[in-house]
Amino acid sequence: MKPIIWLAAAAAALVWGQEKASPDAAIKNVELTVYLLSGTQAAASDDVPQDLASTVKQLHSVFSYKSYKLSDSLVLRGRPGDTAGTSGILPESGLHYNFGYRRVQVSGGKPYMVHIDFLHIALSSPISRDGKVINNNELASITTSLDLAEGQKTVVGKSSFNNAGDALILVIVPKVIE
Amino acid sequence: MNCEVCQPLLGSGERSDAVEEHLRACPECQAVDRDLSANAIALETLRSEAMPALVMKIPRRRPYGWVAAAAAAGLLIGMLAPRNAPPVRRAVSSHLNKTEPLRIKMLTPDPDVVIYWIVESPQGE
Repeated sequence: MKPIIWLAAAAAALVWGQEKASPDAAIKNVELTVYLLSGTQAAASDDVPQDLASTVKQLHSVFSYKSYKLSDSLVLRGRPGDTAGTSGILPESGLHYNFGYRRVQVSGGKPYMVHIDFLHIALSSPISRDGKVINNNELASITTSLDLAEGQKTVVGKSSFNNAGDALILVIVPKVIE
Repeated sequence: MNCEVCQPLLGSGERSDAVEEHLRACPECQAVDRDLSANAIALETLRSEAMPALVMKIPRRRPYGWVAAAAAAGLLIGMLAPRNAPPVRRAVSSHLNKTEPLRIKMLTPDPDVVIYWIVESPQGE
């Protein structure tokens, strides 16, 4: 009986030590910088920050949208294993957005791989009555799980999210903060 | 009668008067007849020969030894596996559930840019 108890204690100590030594234990937060873009068929010049110039160049080579425009940007920071989310209002259109994910994990060494479970964004227009918002009419949403490399710009999008046939595009840049 | 007619008759064992008459005059068919007779005698001797008894030893196996070894190895690997291994993702095939959107991954010439494009399935399909 005693040898079995010692063996179980040794196994538990080994597992506890590995958890302490794992990169996840040392990593404090995962920070996502998210740019909300729209791709449009209207002939116009791109209206995006310089950081996204190379990304938009690739979008032009892949898709037939004439121009891309930044609607908003956000920074969301969370702890591995936790849920995180944020919401806001797009400045020009007044559309409401909800952005978040169910869980984020980090693996590997530098540069880390960031695994996002059920990343979700939804655009909606508010329904008001007597000056009060009573409901939201969802216009478009994206729900997906992703594996992102730290520092890499990951584009997630879908076409025809509105009547004009514009594209809803997210550019997500993860950063692991130790 | 000629050889082309006689030889198949000899193979089927037919010994009519016409076959016998042709055999008397044809040395080639006589040789075929001798070979056929020798084959028949050889087959008769084999029929009466007793076949040796075959004894095959089937090695005894311990069916559960490998199961126990695999279980122990799995337990050991589970305890020692690094915690920073990437999570195992279950692949969901979009063709199994036609309402799930299709996700298309595109790599670009810029290694820092990866594109995932979501394609919604048309309603009703």
